[in-house]
Amino acid sequence: MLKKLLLTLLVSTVVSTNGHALPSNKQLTIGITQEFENLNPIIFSMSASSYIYFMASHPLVAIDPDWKWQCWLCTTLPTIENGLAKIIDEKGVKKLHVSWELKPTAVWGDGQPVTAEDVKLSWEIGLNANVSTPSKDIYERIESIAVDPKDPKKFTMVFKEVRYDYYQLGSLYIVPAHIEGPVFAKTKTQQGAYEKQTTFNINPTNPALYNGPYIVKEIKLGSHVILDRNPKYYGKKPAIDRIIMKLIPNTQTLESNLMAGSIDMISELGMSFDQALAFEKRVGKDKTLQSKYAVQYIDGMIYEHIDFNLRNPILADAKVRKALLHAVDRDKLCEALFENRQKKALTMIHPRDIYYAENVTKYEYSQEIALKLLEEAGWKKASSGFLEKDGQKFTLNIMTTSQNKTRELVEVFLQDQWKKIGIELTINNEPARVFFGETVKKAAYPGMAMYAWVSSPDNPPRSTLHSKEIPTLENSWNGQNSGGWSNKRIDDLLVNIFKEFDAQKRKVMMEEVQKIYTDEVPVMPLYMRADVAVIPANLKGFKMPGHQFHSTLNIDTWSLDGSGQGH
Amino acid sequence: MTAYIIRRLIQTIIVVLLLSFVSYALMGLMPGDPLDIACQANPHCTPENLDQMKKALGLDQPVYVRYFKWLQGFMTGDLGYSRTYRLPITDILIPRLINTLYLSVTSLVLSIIIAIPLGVFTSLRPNTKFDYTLNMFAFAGISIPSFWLALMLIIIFAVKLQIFPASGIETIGLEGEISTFEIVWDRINHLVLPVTTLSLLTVAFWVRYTRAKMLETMRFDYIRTARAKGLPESRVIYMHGLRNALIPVVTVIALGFSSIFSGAVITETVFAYLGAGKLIFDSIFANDYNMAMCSFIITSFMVLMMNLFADLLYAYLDPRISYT
Amino acid sequence: MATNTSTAANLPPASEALKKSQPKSMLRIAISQLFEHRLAVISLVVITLFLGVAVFADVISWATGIDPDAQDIMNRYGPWTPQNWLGTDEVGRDVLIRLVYGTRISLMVAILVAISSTIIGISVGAIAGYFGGFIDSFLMRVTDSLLALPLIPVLIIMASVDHTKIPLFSLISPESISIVKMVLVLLTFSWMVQGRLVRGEVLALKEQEYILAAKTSGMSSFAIIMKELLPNIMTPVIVSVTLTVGSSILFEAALSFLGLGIQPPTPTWGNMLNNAQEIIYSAPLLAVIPGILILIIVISFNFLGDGLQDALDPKAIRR
Repeated sequence: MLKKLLLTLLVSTVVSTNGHALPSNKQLTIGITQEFENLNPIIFSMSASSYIYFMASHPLVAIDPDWKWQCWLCTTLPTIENGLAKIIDEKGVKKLHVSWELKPTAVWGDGQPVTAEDVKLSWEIGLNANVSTPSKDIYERIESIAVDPKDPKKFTMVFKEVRYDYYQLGSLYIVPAHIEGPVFAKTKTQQGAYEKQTTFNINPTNPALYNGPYIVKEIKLGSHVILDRNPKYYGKKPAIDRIIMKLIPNTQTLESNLMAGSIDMISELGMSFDQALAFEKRVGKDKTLQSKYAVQYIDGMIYEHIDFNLRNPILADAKVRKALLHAVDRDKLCEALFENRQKKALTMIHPRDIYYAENVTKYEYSQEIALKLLEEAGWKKASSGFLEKDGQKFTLNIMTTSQNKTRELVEVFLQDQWKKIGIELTINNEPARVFFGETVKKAAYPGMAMYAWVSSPDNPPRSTLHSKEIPTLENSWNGQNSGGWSNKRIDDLLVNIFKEFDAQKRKVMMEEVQKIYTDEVPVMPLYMRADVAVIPANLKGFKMPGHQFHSTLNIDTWSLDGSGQGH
Repeated sequence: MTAYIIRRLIQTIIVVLLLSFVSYALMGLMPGDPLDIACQANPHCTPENLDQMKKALGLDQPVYVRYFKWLQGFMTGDLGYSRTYRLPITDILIPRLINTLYLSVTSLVLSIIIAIPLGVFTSLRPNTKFDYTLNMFAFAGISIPSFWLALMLIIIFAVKLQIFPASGIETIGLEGEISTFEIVWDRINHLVLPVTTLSLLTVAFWVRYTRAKMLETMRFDYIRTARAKGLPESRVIYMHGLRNALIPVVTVIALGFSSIFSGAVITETVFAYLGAGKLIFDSIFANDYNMAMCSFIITSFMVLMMNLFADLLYAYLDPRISYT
Repeated sequence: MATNTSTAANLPPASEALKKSQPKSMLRIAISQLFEHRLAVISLVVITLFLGVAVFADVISWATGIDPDAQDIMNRYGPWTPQNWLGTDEVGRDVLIRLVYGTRISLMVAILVAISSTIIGISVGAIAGYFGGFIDSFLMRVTDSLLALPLIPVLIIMASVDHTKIPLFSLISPESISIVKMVLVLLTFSWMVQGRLVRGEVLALKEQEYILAAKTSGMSSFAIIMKELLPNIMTPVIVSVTLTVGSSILFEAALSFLGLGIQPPTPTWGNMLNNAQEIIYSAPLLAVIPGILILIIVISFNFLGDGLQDALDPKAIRR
């Protein structure tokens, strides 16, 4: 009876349509599914926090949507050519001196100028052992910061190592010294005290904490953030008066909120890919939806791959690895599962990256080649239909994060593909916490592990391919070269490339890295993940970058056409 | 009576202590050590660093030692910090508990208002069409998966009909722009769907229970005596029948608070309602052990106190129970 | 209600002779009573049907030639076709056959939980009721405490424990581990109702003459419990088993829905629902059908329990 009632209700309501209007420049409500923290940029570690932070503050430098490093708070990006970066010999040790100048108009939300003292304090906070930061690497690379006594907007950084990527200080975020200085002075000697006492925690709506187009009006962890236009902002006045970020962890509830009109858009940290495809299809079929939403995709810097555990005797054979690659129709995978919105990867380098090389060994889909390679490696078809070697059945195990539908789909696809050439694939998935915290970290997967490496443009893959990065008990499982690949030439290339200041020569070196990588197949490339967002149809100037400097860093270009009536 | 209360109080406290120890130990069995994960994110974290960090946090000690330390802090009101939010536990937990209380108390009150009169009403006309229909609905109410019901309610009332908001506790960003009355109205609007989800089970259960108790009571001899004395039927029903039937019903209602509180976890999760139940769920998934522990223990304690209250109420109301 | 039943049920089980003849006549009466409860009969048919589907899942798969794990990646979220009556899911597997296998897992878990919790409940209840004293108060305090806990949060904590850290669990194959874990988790929190129930019945029965007679004749406590007490308290226990099956299905579904339940690719109604909720607007049937199935089966078990209660409980007959 109740069932009948529900069904009638369902049927009767399918015909009714959504009645809410398009958003206007008065207010834009954005939905995300990921948790965020308080906005102290030195401490936060979650992507959602930086997504929100970029509306309220700018970093010193960042990558623009065209994947080029640009000044955000500085005036000119220092290079060797323009003389702002100099290699100086200090008693036989080469050091790198880099001069920066902050934008003269840049001010905090209380009108105080952004100065070199702010940069220096931020670096000191990040370096302090009692402050836990997501990574200390960026702070430790810098040996000292000297403020120009004549101009508070100018300073010189000295780097410990002479490395070409000195300007990649994307995560050097700046906090106001006149606010955070006294707090840090009080707390720096006590473990964990700064994190708790920081003004971002105690009084997060203080406008002096922010230097971007918006300031935080209200922040409620686990729920929402309200951002209003920063009246003191020195740059172009943003078109939208108010931005509301709403956290809705359940993807289904998130979509319901969009349909119900209580959020206007879903950020790139929102929908799952499968859900986005389904949503896009619905938008394509439905005129009313079309007038309201647009679905946007952008190729991202996220490399989905399979780590082969090279300690496994079967996988130690390069012929087997190549055969496994030949036996998978990755084009079909991308078409069937992603409708070609996510594309096959050749190597870990993204096609949009400056290091991308076409001239690598490619593995087209061919069961014949795969079987031939396997036969050379000693694997023969047995009566069971499976491949065998020395009476042993060819069986491999793959592990990945449970609760990730896309990865589970890929596993199922691989299982099917490899079965066709007589390889049995067993699946054993674990929750992300165990998978990353134990299995991948300690290389404890018996055969293969599928996950993603998040990279940034112009970033040689030293941390994932160098043999020093193989996690072992001795180095307390530090390092991301979990498969255990060790190649002398790769090691040399990945060390020397950082010492090379000629971009053209670096490109040649990276080409060689990719050639060796595809020749030896220590890792099986799958596809490059795409970011996806659902935006209101009248939102202009929105551009997803596909890397860690989210679309919100360019929020001052966003505007909503006046056709909407607002809420 | 006082001795009985004290004895039950002590029992409840022992249960809470045992429960907190077991859940503390169980949380230790949850996958992924937060420190290991933190260390992994830092390329300069060496085994010595890790050991040092563990020592500093006392993680090298056996579980019961750590538990007593935690308990000590808990008892002195120092609940510590949430790892995810880097804020004192109380700052996060208290508003969440208040939200859950809004949700639970509204459901409780609503369930009582609906269930008891319906139960009494139907018990007075047993085996009629109305009785059967109500019985069917009550059965459906007990048998429906609440999360599924929640999904369906969202689709129908939030997305298709757009009568009620799909999730959350209030419309964000309206403070200072609307009157207090409108704020309250907005909050009530947000409560409708989660309260419906949460109340359905209790309403269904209580209707059946009230009906059964009422039928049972009406068969007792004193009711027959009252009728024989020639008292008007309404007086028989309400003065004699209802009063006695309600004794067990009242305690079941007090216990119902526990099931509502427990069911709130699922309801809050689906409706993204910022309550204590969702906090437990989220903090477990975010590896925020301290947060999960504190919110779990405090929630459980509240539920156990309600149970205790139910027992005491029953003992007080029913003269047949002795307090030994 | 039939009058002959009320007289039979009102007779106290006082004498040995009556006790012996009772089960048969009681059974007949119970059956005739049950058949008067129309909804219970319908429910029994529905349950039998579902059980049949669960038991013969492999036969159904073989007969239709559809493999529950066979995917057709090019036919994701496929519509209704003569081959796929309910369309296909996210990897192009047939939804109907997965629901069939889901029935098997969901029912299996629930029945396992119900039976094993009954065994525990009977043991605890019988021991507590029969021996009384300290054992009784201890066991009952444990039961009360467990009964008082907020169930869902406790289940969430239990279900999120990493099984690899528990030694014995490494012996179980990874495919079935989440099923075993689910049964254990649900079991821990479902035996208390039966325990209390059995204790109450045993307390009432143990002062009966025939038990006292058995005691004086030198029967061991174990034998008395097994041979004399248990057969006489089976009726409320059976009712309670049916109700536990229903509630276990609900809890399994809820935990699977939260992602803490039985892991894919093993299909259960709960995790099929969990999988489908994200695309609920594009493929609503994927989410609606498992929910309705859960509703139907749970309501059937509840109706059956109600019917059994009426049929077996002498007090209820007088309604």
